[in-house]
Amino acid sequence: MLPKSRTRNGLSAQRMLGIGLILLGCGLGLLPRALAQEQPGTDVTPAPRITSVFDRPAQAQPAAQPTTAPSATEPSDAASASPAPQVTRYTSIFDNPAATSAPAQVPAASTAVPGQPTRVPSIFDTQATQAPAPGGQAAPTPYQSLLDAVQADVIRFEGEEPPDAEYCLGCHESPYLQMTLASGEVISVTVDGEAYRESVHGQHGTEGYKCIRCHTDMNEYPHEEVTAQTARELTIDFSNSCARCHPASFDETADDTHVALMANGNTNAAVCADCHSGHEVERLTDPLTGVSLPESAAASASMCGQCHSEIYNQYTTGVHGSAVLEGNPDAPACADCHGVHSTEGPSTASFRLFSPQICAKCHADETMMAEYDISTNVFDTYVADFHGTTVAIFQNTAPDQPFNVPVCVDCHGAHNTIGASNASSPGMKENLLTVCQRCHPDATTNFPDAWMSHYPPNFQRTPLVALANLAYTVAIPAVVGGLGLFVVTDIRRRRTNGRKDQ
Amino acid sequence: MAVRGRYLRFPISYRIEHWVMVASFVTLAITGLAQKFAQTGIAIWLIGGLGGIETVRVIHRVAAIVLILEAVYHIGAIGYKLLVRRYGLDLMLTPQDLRNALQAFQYNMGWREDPPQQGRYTFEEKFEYFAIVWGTIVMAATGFILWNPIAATSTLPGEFVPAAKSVHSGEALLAVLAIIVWHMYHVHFRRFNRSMFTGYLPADVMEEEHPLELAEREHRAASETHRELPHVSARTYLGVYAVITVVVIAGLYAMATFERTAIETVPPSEESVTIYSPLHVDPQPIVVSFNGSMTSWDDGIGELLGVKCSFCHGGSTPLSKLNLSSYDTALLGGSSVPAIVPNDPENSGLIIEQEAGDHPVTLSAAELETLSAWIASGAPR
Repeated sequence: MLPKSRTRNGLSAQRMLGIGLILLGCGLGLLPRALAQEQPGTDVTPAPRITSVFDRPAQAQPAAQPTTAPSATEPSDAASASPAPQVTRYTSIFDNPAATSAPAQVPAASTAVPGQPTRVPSIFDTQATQAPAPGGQAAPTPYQSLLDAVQADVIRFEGEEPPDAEYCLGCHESPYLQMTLASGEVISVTVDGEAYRESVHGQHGTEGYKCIRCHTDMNEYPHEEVTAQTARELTIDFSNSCARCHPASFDETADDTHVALMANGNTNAAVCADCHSGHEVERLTDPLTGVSLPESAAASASMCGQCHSEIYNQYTTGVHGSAVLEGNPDAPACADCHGVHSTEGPSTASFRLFSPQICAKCHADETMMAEYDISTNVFDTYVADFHGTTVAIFQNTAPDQPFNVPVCVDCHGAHNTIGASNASSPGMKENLLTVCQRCHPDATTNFPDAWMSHYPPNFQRTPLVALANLAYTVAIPAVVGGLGLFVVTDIRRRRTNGRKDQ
Repeated sequence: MAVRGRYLRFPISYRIEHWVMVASFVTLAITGLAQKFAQTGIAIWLIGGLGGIETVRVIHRVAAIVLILEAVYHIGAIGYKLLVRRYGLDLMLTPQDLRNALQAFQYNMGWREDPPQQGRYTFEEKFEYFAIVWGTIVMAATGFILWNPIAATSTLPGEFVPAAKSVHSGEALLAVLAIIVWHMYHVHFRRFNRSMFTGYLPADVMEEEHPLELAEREHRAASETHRELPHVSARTYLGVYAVITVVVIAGLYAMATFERTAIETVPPSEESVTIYSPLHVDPQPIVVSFNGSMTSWDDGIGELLGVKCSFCHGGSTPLSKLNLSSYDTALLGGSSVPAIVPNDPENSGLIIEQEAGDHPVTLSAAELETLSAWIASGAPR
């Protein structure tokens, strides 16, 4: 019978630490859309925007470049960290270790330097490097069958040091990479390397997380066959990889409405990557304190807007949404009301029933409301009134039962809440009758005054109510006290009489 | 009339009225106070136990109807006694009652040695009776407003509704406390008065509490007094009363069904917004078509392969050792089949691989055709 405890967490540290880890091969991230333009009349394609390991310093057309002799190379593969600013191209594991130049004299033979992936010589090795490569294999016989070539040239990324992200990006930054799934869907498997490098995962440590951390099945080339039948299935499958590093956040989703929808077969329901993106995971909390960053509210709201765009558009027109977009740290983003990772389905009777407490979380907070000159009586006056009393009773006795009593959002709107001082606010006296008539169609002009507008009774606004309260505040103790006095004196007299009789 | 040693106080009709009122009053008090103090544990327990707030409100209203019907009957019975039977108004408050109350207080305080001598109805009883009359009127009037707020505000100012609620709530508490203090003390604690069960009071209690009535009865004066009121025949009275009763019951029915939308409201409107409205689907591969003539390497073929293939098949470590970024290296081929066999597109690895359809970068049909034609024409530079 006790009130059901509800907490609707904001972007708390723990929550936001649960940023998903999906690195989707299909490149959910932004693709360089500019490339999609076709230039009519010419046979020229726009140059790829993405900075690539293959980019030449002059950014000239690739075809114009000599390829037989790499001009400038960095010493080694995995040992190379992020590129120095002045370097116009990224160092890469593809670089020829033999053709080492000034910066670091790492002998080509010493491929066992710590941090370097242990790998067998591969098809990636150039002719020039093939000879000194450790365990160098014989040059493949020309005119093999394709199958033979694949089998002979499989490279496995085993051992303690798998290849770093740059190694994978060497190919996967190409904007034309695609894959045909069993469903017939053709998906892009391009990764925006620049975006990844700027993402939380890409920023980890000195060189970012390795792709294989999430793409665990991609430990060889050619890659293992993708088992997912559809692009959506592929996205969903990858959510499990988030759990490996973010078990706490993943566990939170046990009660999540999206997870429940997914379990019921709705594959549109959001998984980690739908909100957090595959490769462009944004930082939402301070890494040291765990406190939400100021910009995280707007960022997280737009995450939800990816799938709930209509609601998001309503939200941005409302007083809360517009404040969040302006960077107001007090204003609620989606997650502040709906929770994050353990989002409760908002269409249940229970969610509606307990929603006044969500609003009260901020609107009964005097410190926060003082800044906006908003009354903090709103919750108490609501509960004191017929509607709120009924809702409070339902909360205590029938938390899952549908009910027809209005909660805050029924009058004020949920996502498009506008300030009470706004002329079009449903709370304005002129608009109130219309609001009442939504549920009480027969209501007439005087009816809205039956509602005391979130003000406690007082002699200025509601003199009759204040008078009634005052009358009974006086009358009850006076009458009952008077009666009690009579009773007490009567008892006293009877005792005296009793003693006399004896 | 008087059985030896005991006196009839309440005939059966009085006792039925009393118990009907007890039942409705207690029901109203419990279901009403549970709503007044809805946040308390006992109220939650009670409301839950009674089947929820909606049921509690139905019970409260049914009890209210019962109480009002009892009041209607009571008024009729009083009128009958007054007009048909021409009994005196023993119950009427008189200045003597005020004096009696004062004297009782003085007696209790020991300032006087003689208690007030009272008749059939003592000042304590009259106070309680009129408190209930007052309370019933107040509660019925305010209850009507709360029951029918829309009807009420069609004529009354809106503020009457919360004011009615305050009065209804305050009066309820006052009535319950008064009953507990006054009624409970006088008829249960001071002396357990069984007259509402048996109908009779023993002689000693009559002597102490109603000495004047006792004296009257012994002088066979009864309580009948002749008053200057018109005498009404029972037939006329009951006829008029029947009409009044029918009207009142019709009024009650109207009150209970006057408006529905205060109770059975239209459900709050659902937001007319599509919950799932994704902004974009999964990103699609970029389609860039080369659709010129492209008759030679320098006339576009080189650029096509440069853009679409050399990302992997180019640079310092071309995949499969196939470097498509220059004419020479392209013709050199890769680690397996030769990529380009001039004049023989069918044996060119590039064409074979593309036609298989599962290459990570797939050329468009037009591009493949152009490429094939270029190879067929000897793959000119």
